[in-house]
Amino acid sequence: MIRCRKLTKIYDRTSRRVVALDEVDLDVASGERVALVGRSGSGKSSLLNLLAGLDRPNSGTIEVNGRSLERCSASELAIYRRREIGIVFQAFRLVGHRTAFENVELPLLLDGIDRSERRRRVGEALERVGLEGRSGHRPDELSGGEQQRVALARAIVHRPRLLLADEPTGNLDPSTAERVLDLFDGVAREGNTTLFVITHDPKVAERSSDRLLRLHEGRLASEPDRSSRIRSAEER
Amino acid sequence: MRTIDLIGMALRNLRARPVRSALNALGILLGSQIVLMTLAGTRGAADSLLALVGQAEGMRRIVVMASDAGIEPPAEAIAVDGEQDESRRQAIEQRLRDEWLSSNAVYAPVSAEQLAMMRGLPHVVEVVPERRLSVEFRRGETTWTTFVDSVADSSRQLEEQLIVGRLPRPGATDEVLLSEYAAYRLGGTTRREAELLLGRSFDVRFRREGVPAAGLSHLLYRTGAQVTTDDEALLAESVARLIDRLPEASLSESQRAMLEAIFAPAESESSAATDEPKAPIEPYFERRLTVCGIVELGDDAPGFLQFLTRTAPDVGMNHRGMEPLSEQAEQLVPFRTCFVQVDSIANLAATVRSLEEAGLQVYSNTWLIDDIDRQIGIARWGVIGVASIVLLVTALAISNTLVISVLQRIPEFGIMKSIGASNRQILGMMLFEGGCLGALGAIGAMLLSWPIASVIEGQVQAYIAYRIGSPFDGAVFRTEVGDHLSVIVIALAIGVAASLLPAIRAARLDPIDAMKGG
Repeated sequence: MIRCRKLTKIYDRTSRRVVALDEVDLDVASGERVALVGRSGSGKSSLLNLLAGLDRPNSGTIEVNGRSLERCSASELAIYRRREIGIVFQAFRLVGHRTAFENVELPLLLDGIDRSERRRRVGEALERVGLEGRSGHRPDELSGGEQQRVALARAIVHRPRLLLADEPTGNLDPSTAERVLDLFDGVAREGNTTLFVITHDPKVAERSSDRLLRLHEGRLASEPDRSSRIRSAEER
Repeated sequence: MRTIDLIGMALRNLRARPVRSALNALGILLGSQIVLMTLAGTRGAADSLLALVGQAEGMRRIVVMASDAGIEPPAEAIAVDGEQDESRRQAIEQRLRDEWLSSNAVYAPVSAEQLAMMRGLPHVVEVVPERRLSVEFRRGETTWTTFVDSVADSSRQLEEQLIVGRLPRPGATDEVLLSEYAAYRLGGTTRREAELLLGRSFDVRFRREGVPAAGLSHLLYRTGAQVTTDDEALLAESVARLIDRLPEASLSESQRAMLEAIFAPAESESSAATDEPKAPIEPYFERRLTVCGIVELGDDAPGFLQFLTRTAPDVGMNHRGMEPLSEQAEQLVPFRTCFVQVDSIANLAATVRSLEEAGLQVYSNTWLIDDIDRQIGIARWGVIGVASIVLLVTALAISNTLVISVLQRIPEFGIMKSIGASNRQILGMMLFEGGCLGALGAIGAMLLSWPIASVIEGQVQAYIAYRIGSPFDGAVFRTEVGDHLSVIVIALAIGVAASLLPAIRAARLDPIDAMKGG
């Protein structure tokens, strides 16, 4: 599903040169749920941006679903983002003047899906996140949890094979965060969707992944005791 | 992304910022309105001006003269000196030719066939041949010698000159108009006495040989000879003797034929065939004429009459009534000019062309109409130039607001890109927004143009009517389908052009930076 080799991302700021990712090797299988943890500035968001095709590496390769993203043109990357991945951001990133329905509808609009099919899929997505009754509300009329659920509906409405989430519960209270994580878990399992979650919260990481990765100063390391912790959690 | 969805998205985006969108659309509306009103106004002004000009009979009148009787100027008379380009050389040569023919050639008379042809042309209201007959009015023991001239019974100008009475009825051979002077000579020494002449009949003697003599005196006048009316009979006799000796003159065939056509008396076929001696021509035939109206022919009388005869005539008779009298007078030169009255100034040029194609020499006011058209055309381009500057300023203002709009919407574009919008889609969305603004402006301009034009038209018509002293209902604005199409195209172009730079800027945004707010 995901295969990165010697992935390097360097930011040349005017004041200093920052190595965000330093020859990262990463393999994620299809349907796998992976959590990437690390402190602020460790390179988590850089890795997510590369996986989302929003940015390009300085060197190394990044392959998603057999597509080498570093070789794709801008328009190919746009199509990749439109059809193959869904992204959920910490700050929700909803278009303020559009209703929940219209926000969820956007990826389908961009992909040229016809109106009736859009209505059906958006309805399904909103129902999946429990917001079918709030479809006509604009973001400023929704709570933080509801906004994040709208963002999740928008990320899954086109049935992506890879769901990327950047601190999806960062702006939510614990109980709401719990509910959103349940949704992520459910969506990923139902659609056999590969889930790649970035968080700095170990609890979220444990709760939403089969495998835990740690990023430290641009270098990747797996958590060796991850599987045993998950097993023990399941036994409980 | 489907076009319909792109338009829908653009409209939703515009609706999300109603005040800004409305102001932008208003800017385009105003610019488009100016263009539309300019196009319609200049065309309407041209129409109104021509309608005003066309109200004058004289502007719709064509003077027709049979041309030069086949006489060509000598080569040296039309030689153009100096090096000229071909078109200039031809123009100068034509002027030299006209000048020579005007000062040297004798024009052949207009024939009855040509008259019939002219009357058969479309849009010709009336064809009035120039006819003049010498007459003697008799009252008691005294006589008064003058001329009767043909007049147009449809002439509004003549009607406006009427002091009392009416114009001669079409075809009437016993009704005449009198000038104030003629009324005075016939006993109307006071205004009251002049009015009493209406309906009164006078015995009048027409001179059979009057017209050839008059034509001859005219010819001599052109050569500088001083000839009085009293000399004309003697002069005709002298010319007749000269005509007898014409074969001995050293003239070209065409010149001799032309002189014979003008001066030689027409011999009837029967008398030529039988070789019988001609009966002597009675010098006079008599008629009784009834005065139907008295006209004022002052210095400002434009007059159809004045123009026909070059001097104010004393007695005018309907030209249809003049024709049988002219035949009876056995005039040798029926007439050399006539007037063709056209129904509308719009048909003037076409009628002139038809007459020219028939080989007639034509004088008309088409040059003035062309000049009006040209001047209005120049004015129109001037106004369009100003309108273009207004449109440019509008486009810049709209572009400026759209740039600000892009700056405010940077996070939105970032989000759109993060979920799969391509640069082209962002560009298209922005251009469609501009296009929608343009379309809204164009539709608004077209909807508003009617009430605005109605109000302005009413005011302008009232003002013109006040200035010319008569009702004026000419169109001030006249739009054509092409104007509306032009406005739509221009408005769309403004909208799209104004949004082009902001659209490119939006399309090139880096999605990560954009989501952070630029």
